[in-house]
Amino acid sequence: MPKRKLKTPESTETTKICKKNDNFSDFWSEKLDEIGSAHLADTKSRTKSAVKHELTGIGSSSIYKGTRDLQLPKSEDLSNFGWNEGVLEHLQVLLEEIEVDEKKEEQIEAERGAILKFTAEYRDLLAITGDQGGYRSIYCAHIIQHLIRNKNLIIGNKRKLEIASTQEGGADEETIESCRDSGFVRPVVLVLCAFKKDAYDIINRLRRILHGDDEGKSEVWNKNRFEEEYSGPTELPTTRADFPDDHKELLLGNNDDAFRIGLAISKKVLKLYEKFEKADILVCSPLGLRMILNGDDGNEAHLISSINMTIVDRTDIMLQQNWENLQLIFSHLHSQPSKIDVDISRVRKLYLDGQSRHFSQLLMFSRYSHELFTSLMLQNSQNHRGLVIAKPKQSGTLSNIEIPLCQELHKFEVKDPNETSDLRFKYFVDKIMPSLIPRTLIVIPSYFDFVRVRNHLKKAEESFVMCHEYATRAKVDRAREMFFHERKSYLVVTERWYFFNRRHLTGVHRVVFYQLPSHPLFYSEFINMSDAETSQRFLAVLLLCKYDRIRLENTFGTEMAAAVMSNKQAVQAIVSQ
Amino acid sequence: MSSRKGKASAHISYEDENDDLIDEINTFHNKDRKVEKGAIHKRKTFNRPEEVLNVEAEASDSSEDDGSDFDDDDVNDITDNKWGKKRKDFYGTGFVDKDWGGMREEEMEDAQLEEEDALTRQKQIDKSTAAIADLFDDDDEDEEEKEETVEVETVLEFNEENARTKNKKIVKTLEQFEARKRIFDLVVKPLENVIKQIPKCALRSQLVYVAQTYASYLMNTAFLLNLRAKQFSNEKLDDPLVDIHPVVESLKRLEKKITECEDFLHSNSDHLDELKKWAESEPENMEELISKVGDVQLTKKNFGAIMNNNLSTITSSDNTSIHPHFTPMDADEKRKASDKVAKNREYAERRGKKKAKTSKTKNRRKVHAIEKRVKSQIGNVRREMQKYSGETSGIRASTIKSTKLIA
Repeated sequence: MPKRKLKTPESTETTKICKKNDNFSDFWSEKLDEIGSAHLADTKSRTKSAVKHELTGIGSSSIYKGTRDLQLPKSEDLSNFGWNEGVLEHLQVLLEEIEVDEKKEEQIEAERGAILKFTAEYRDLLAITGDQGGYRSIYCAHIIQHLIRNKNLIIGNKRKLEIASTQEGGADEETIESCRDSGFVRPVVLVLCAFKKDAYDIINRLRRILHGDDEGKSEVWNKNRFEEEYSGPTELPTTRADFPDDHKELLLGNNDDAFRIGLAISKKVLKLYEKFEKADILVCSPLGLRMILNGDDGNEAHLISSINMTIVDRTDIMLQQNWENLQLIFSHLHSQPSKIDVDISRVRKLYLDGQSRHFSQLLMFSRYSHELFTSLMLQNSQNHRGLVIAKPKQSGTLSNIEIPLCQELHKFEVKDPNETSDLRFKYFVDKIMPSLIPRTLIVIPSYFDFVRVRNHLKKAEESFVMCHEYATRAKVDRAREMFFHERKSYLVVTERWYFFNRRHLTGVHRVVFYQLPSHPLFYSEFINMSDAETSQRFLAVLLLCKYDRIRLENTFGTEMAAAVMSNKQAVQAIVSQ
Repeated sequence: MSSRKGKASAHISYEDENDDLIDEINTFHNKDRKVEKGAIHKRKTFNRPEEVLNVEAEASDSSEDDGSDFDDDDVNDITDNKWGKKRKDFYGTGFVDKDWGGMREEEMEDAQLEEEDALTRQKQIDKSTAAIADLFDDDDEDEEEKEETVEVETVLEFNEENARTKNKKIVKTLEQFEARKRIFDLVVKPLENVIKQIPKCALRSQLVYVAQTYASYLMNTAFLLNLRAKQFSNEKLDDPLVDIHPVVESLKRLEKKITECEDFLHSNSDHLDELKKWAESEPENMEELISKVGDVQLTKKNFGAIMNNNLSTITSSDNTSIHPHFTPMDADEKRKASDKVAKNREYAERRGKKKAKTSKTKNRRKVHAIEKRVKSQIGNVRREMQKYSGETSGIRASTIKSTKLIA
């Protein structure tokens, strides 16, 4: 009698699934041969064959197809994704709670629709969006849906094997092969985010999608410890400086950047602080995860050998933290583990054959685009379901400049992209340094370029001071004071120092940008720091090559960047009226 | 004369106005001693573009500067200086961060090592960019244009949103204006009744100062807001003439005074309430008032200004009390010596820093002095950065590079 009762809903579910798209089964049932694998790994040919489309919501995008052609999104209903109804309901509640500006409501709705479609279809996605609450809710719902299907599959196969083994002769070869359903280790989802407050927000969204708003039903293990360690102040610290809005957002909450936490889901229980061997979801910062890969805290690279889904949230902040950690994590992803503790007969064949990178989804979200984001995406995205890289049209930040300005754009030629930094340094030393005047601010986005320029200035015995992220607070204050009182001629600033401190630098009469800053707002902010007493036109000198095109689009706008890049002049001047 | 003193009537309260009691010599000396209003502070009235009713209190503008110009705040927990062991060897160390030019030999080696490591890492980043180099090549082939002048309209269209964005300070000023006007109506305005009934003393001068500062601030702010309103009615997002108007400068000065007045009102709110009740009910009972409000904390920074202000309004009062706040200040009364004079601190300051007493520190100071003398005689060895490697552009016999001396 109980068996018959169980069978009836199963047949009903089967009927429902036949009518809808089953993205989970489609994702795993794809057969991939060596030709397909080689095609997915060939980045250059995929770049050439990429199709550009104007997608509603996320703007102009490059679509890299996988093994099959990617169908463009239509105006579909949520129920067509084949998702759990509870997950859909809770996702709707979460999305409706977010306060959205009325003018941007249509744009944001279309953006969420596009992100939801590409996410639910297991396609790789690099999206440029500021709707943080929206895309977070969407990928959290997708994570829960994926785990539900994965666990149901594993439990069903486990039961099938038990039944088959009790029969005469044991389970046959065909049954054993059809029950391969897991990877080398249990973690299947990796979420990388910048700060603990981001992890706090993500885990709370996961809990609400899993349990809904009812606090009584939900059961969360280690909730008190989580609240104690991951929650932070909700008010800004009192400060005399007037910070811009994005810096206030940075200061708010728990902004610790070294953390890692494992989550496990079983039935209706959400387990926090689970051991990584028994966790389903890993929520880490790049620094926190890197320390256990091959760092000081351990050598556990096998834990991320079977990741089905990788989500990188707020890549723009990770760029200001340490990009090398992210590169190291991605190099360890999908590698063969050094030790295997699992039943090998349950491991999918694609993991044994080394094809796991083609069956993994990669989602990346950022506030602005950058060449390193695109590079990381293209080098690590080999999903057989294809890849979408969003490149929305930018309007630029030049309208924020409040002073009369003359901008000198120096373009230097680069034949080999590996020599970009050498050529930039040579151009700076030969052309820019001889014409430097006192009270010049030199902005160097990369710390490694800063080291080179600093050593050169020291050998040449120039009069300069430095503000960089490794200097102590007292040293930075003294440097600013010496520059302001004209005891030193030049002030050399790194972008990361400015990102985390956002101080107003007084006494600046000229700015030299060694490279265009990654953050679009920094260009106008540095220019607005000029001394208002100067009656002359403020001069900003900028070095760029063709590989700075994405940064130029962020700051100058897409149209103006195209005009600047297509101009053959080595030095261009932009004069404001 | 002595018989007249005995016959003085009770209704005569001011000695100066009664000529019968004072002979000619006293009259002459009183006139000579009298200080005219405004004689102490004579200011030049410079021409302003638009006249604002000048209700600034006559107070000294001296304010103590904070130690560092760039000590913004102490709350800054974000740090990116978390690394494994390898990075600590190079980054975050104090070497090569010294603010004098040149390199010492022991630092040169470390700086070279750091530069090589930084170059390696920068190459890795360049390699990441090189992987997607095709993305940048495609667009260059399509477009081949010659000199093109691109004009981009950065002037924003005038509407409420842009106006609000461009003038964030005005929004803030408007909020502050409304808040302080509320405080003025609730707290400062009722003090007018107190000022009328209280006898002239230090406390009264303090209250007058607070009222004047608030009135001046509110009027100047209202004027600035009026100028901005005119600017917006002309549909301008920016107006340089408003930015350089002297009312902006006045508001900066008034901002400090308002902060002091707010501190005064906040710390003495209970006593001010007592004063208001006293002014409404019993204007005659001074003894009871003194016992209640005696410990009002006057602002120390403005005490000198208040004293000077009191000199011009000297009157004697029958109600003599021991408490200093309520005693009218006489012109002849001497002021106390300041702490610096009383403790003879200036002599100690002139003596200079303490010199070393232990032989170790003595010898160290000697070595430093000797090093200074030696360095002034023998300069540091300078290194040739780029050695002369011949004429890179070749030798041309017809080129003359020497300079002719004109006889």
